[in-house]
Amino acid sequence: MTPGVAGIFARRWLRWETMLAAVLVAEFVLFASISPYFLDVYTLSDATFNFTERAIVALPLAMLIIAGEIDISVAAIIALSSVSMGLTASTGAGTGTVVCVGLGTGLAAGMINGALVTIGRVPSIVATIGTMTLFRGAAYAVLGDRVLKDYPPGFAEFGQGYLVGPVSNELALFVSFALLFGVFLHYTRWGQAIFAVGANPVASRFAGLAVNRYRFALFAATGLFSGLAAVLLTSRLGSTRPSIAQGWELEIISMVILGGVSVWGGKGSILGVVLAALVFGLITFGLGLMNVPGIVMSIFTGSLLILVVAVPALLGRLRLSREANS
Amino acid sequence: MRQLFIAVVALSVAIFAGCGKKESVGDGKPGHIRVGVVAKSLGNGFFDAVNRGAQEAAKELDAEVIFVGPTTPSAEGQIETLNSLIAQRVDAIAVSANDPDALVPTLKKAMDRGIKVISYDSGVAAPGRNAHLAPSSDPLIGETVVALAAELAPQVDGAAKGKIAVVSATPTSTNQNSWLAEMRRVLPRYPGLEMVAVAYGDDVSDKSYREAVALLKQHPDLAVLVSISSVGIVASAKAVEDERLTGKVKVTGLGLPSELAGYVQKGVVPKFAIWNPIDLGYSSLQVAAHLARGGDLVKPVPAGRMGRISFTADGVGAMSKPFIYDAGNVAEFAKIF
Amino acid sequence: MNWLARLSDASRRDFAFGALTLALPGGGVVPVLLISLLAGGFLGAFNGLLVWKLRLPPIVVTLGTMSIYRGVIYLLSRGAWVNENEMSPAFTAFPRLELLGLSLLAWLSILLVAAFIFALRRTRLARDLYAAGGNPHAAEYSGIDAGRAQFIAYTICGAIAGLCGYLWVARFAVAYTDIALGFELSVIAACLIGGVSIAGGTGSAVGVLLGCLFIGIIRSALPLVGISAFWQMFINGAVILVAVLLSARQRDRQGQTLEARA
Repeated sequence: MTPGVAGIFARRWLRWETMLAAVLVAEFVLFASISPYFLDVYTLSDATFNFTERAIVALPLAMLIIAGEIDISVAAIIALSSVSMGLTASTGAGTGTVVCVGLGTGLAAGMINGALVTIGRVPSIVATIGTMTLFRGAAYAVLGDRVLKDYPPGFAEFGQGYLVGPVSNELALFVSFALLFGVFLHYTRWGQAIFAVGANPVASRFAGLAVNRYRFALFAATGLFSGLAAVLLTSRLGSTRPSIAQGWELEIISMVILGGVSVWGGKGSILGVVLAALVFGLITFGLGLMNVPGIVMSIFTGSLLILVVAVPALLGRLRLSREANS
Repeated sequence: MRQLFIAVVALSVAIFAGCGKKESVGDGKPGHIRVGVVAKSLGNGFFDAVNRGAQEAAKELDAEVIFVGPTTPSAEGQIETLNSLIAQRVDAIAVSANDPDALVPTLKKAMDRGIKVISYDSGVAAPGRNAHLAPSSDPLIGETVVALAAELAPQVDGAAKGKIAVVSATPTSTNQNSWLAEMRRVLPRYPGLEMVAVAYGDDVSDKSYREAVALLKQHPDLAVLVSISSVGIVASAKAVEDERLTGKVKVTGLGLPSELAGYVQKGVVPKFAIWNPIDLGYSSLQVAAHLARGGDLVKPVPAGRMGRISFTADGVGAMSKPFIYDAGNVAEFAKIF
Repeated sequence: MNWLARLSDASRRDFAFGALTLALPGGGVVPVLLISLLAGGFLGAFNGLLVWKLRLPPIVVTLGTMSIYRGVIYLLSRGAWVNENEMSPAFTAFPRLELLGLSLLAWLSILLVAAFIFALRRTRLARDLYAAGGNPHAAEYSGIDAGRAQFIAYTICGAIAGLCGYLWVARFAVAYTDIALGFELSVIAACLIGGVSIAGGTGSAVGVLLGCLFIGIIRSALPLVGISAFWQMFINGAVILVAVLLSARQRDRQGQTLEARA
C-alpha cells in the first residue's frame, strides 16, 4: 500500500462516490418500500423533471468550480434567456430562432462573467453576485408585470416531449451531456488542464497554460448551458415571468458540492455530480410522494450535504486514531 | 467504476423486487376519494384556514384531503408538488396557482390521467383546469376596496376627497393585477379620490415596509394607504405607526384578522376586507368532490352549507362578496384565521 | 477567512426568532436579548465545530446548515406566523427607543462597529484569523490554532446573527419561517464590496461598514427617488458591478496585497 499522489486522490474520490451510490440505493429501497406509488415507470419518469434542468447546469458549473472559479449568476442567466426567448417568440419567430436566441443570450451572459473575471480581474464570486442582480434586474426591467407565453407550437417539445417511451427529451439530453462532459473532463488534455488550473493557477501559468483562456471558456460554457436550461424550463412551463428559476443558484451549487467537487478547486468528477443530481432528484420526489412539506425536505437535503462530507472525515479520523493506538 | 456497477445492480434488484407487489396499489373502499389541496406556499395563515375548511367538507363527503404546497411561492415548486400528487393518483386536485400559465402543461397531464382539476383563489388558465372557484369576483373586490378607501378618506361636502396609494404584492401576481385593474375602473365613481402611486412589496415584509415608508415620504398629504396583499397591509400598518402618522394616514385593504387585530384596536387599520378562507376551502372541496364523482357544471353545484355555486360556460364560479372586518368583529375572527 | 463565517447568518438569524418569539411572548427585553445571543451563538458554534473538529469545507457546512436551520424553524413553529399583537409592546419598541436623538438600533450598530474595529486591530484572535486566512500553512507552523480561532469566529457570527434576528422581528413586528430569505447573499456582497477578500486574509471593519452603507443606501434611496420598481434591481446590480470593478482596478494598482494587519 504505497499509493502515489494520484492514488490517494483516486481513493479519496472513489470513497465519496461510493457514499453517494450507497445513499442512492438506500433512498431507492426506502421509498420503494414506503410508498406504493414509487415504483412505476411513469412516476419515475415524472421524477426526473425534478432535477434534469438543474443538473444540466451543474455539469459545466462543476468544471468551473474544479478550475477554481464559481458562477452564482446561473439562475439569473436562465431568467434573462427565458425573457429574451419570450420577446423573440412574441414577434412571431419560429422555434429554431427562439432556441438560438435563448442559447445566444446565455452564451453572451456567460461571456460577460468571463470578461469581468479575466479582463476586469474581479474575483468570480464578487463578479457573479453582481451580475446575478444585474441579469435578474434586466429581466424585470424588460418584462415588468407582463407574461410572455406566445411560444411557437413546436417549442413545447423540448421540455414536455419524450424521446422513446418514458424517456423524456430532457433526460436524454442530460445523459448525453453527462457522458460528453465526463469524457471531456477525465480523458482529454483540456480536462487535465482544467484540474491543473484549479489546483494551482500560478504554476499552471508558468507551465505554459493559457489560464485565463480556460477560465473565459468555462464561464462561457456555463452561460451557454444555463441558456439550454432556460430553453427546457421555458418550454416545460410554456410561459416566462421574470421570477423564473428564483433561488436555483444555491440548489445547483449544492448539487455540485454534494457531487464531491472541491470548493477550493482542482478536485471532482462528473460521475459524482451525476450521482448527486440523482440523489437530490430522488429525495425531493420521494419525500413529495409522502407529502412531506418542501421546507422539511430541506432538512434532509442539508443533512445529506453535511453527512456525505462528514462520514468519510469521521471514518478517516477513527482509522488514524486506531493506527496511533496500535 | 466498480461502485457504479454495484449501484446499477442494486437499483435493478430493487426495481424487480418492487414491481412484483405493484398490483396491491388500490384506491381503498369504493366511493372514498382523495383530493390534493395545493397552497401557494406552506406556512401561510390564509392557506392553513383553507385547509381547515377543506377538512370540514371532507368529513361530510367521505373524502381525504392531502394538503401540500411548495416552500416558497414559485411555479417550479408547485409543479414538483403537483407531480407528486399525480404519482399518488389522487381523484381530484384543487390548486391556488402561483402562475396561471406555467402550471397548465402539468395539470393537463393530470387531467389526461383522469384526475379532476379545479383552481381556487388564484386561477389557472382555462386549458389547465375543469373549473375555477373564485373567492369573490374581481369586480366585487375592486369595488369593496375602493369603497373602503373612500369611507376612510376625509369627507368634504359629503364626498370623499384625498390621495390614495396602493401597496401590491409582486408585479407578476395574477390576483393583485386584476384587482388593480378593477380598482382603476371603479375609481372614477369617486371624483375626489386620486390614486397617486402603486408600489410593489413582493409579499415580503421588509420590502413592503421600505416601499410603504417611501410612499409616505413621497406623498406627505396621503390620506389612505391601500394594500391588496396580506403581507403588505401588515408592513404598511407598521410603517404608518412608526412614522407616527396613525390617524392621519389610514391603512386599509385585504388582510387577515389575526394579523391585523392589534392594528385595528390601535386605529391604524380602522376597517379591512377579506373573504373567508375557511368557506373557500370548504367550497373548493365540495366542487372538487362533485367533479370527481362524475358531476358536471351545467347546473349550479351543491356546496353544503354554502348553498349552490353556479359556473359560467368557461367554468368560472364566484363564491361570495368579501367580508368587512372592523373593531366590532375582528377579535372573534382573529381566533380562527 | 471571516467572510466564510458570515454565510449562514441570515438563516440563523430567523431561527433564533421563530423559536424565541413563540417561547417568550411576554418576556422582558433583557432575557430576550440574552436568549437571542445564546441561541444564535449556539447554532454558530455548531457550524464552527464541524469546521474545526471534522475539517469540513466551511461552504459545505453552512450551505447544509442553512437548509437544516430553516427546516427546523418550520418544524418548531409549524409554519405559524407570530403577529404584532402577540408581542409585548416593550419587545417591539426596544430598537426604536431614542437616546440622544438616535434610535437604539443605530446605537447598537455604532457600538458593534466600534467593538469590531478595536477587536480586529488589537486582539490575538483577530491576528490569528488574519494569519489563518492569509497563509494557513505558515499560520500552522507558527503555532496558531486556526480551527479554534475560526470556531470562535463562527460562534461570534452566530450570536450577532441571533441578535439581528431579534432586531429584525422587533422592527417589522412579525416573525415567520421565511424571514430574511436571501439575506446571506446581500451580507456577503456587503463584505466583498467592503474589501474583504474572498480568499481570506484581508478585510477591515470600516470597509465592511462602508459596504453595508453602500448597499443599504442604494436600497432605500431608489424607492424614495421614485424609480420604477422594475428597474430597481437592475440599477442595484449595475452599481455593485461598477463598485467591484473599480475596487479591483485599484487593488491592481496597489499591487496584489492590501495591508495585512497581522
